[in-house]
Amino acid sequence: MGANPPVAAAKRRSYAIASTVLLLAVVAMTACASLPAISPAASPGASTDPFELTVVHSNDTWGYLDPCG
Amino acid sequence: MPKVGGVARRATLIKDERAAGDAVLVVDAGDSLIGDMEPAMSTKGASSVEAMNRMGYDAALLGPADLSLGPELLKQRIAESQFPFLSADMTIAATGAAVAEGLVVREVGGRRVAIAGISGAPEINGFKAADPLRTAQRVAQDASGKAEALILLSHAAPEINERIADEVPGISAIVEGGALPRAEPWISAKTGTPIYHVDWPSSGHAGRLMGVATLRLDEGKLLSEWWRSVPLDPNIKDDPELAAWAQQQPR
Repeated sequence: MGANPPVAAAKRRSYAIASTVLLLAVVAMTACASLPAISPAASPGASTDPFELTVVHSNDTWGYLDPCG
Repeated sequence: MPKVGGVARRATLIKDERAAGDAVLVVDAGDSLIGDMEPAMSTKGASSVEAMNRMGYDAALLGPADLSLGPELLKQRIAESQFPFLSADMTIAATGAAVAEGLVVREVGGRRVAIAGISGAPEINGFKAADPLRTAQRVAQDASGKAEALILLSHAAPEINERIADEVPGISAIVEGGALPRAEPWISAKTGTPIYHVDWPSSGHAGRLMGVATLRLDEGKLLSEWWRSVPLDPNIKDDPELAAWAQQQPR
């Protein structure tokens, strides 16, 4: 004996919804894989524009406190 | 000939540069603790640490002369410092433990900057040394993804630093210590990594010059750099606080 037509229609709707969800999930995963990875160095609100870093440096100061000749 | 150097003038330069820039790092490339002058010798480098604390250093490399203090005294100096001392290549021979941190990441002007150190010291005074080139490769890998720039402080021999600059990608700049300064930055033809080395010590002469490097960076790549050497001559006024403190130190 065949399925009650309303039940069959409900089953077809369920399969359609499930398939659509699965398709969307596959598309999302593919899109995410092709996006550049977020740098671990970036934090929410952090700028990733070019920036200027000033490095003030000394070496071999030998603990001298005073000026010398 | 006027005398050059001193912590009071160095403090003024540091304050001026911090006021002028958005992201400013103050570092030392080794052998800051002791030499041939007081009070550093009798305090075993404690006075040097206090001076650098007062000047607001962000990091300092442990150079060969610093390591001559030995593990126990160095432990005390490191505990007294308000900034990290760095050495990625030296370990304590007896235990295998690292002498100091090898790599730190600091937030500077809202940007994350990694700083690493290679002491390039001999295996004496109870220390063991790893190969500097392999160490540089390791710290560059460790820093990858953690910061937008990597500054390597190195007291290894100049030819070794040049090899590091040529062969290790991901280093924004090398700040070098040792006896042979470079009148101009040495820039690797292979990677574009610059090496800066501003001063050279000799008996009775140290701490006379500061280097100021301006690096323009984008996503870890060095777009441009500019460097100048600044003699700490009488044109630079003494910072009154550092001058007063230095005057009080026993000689």
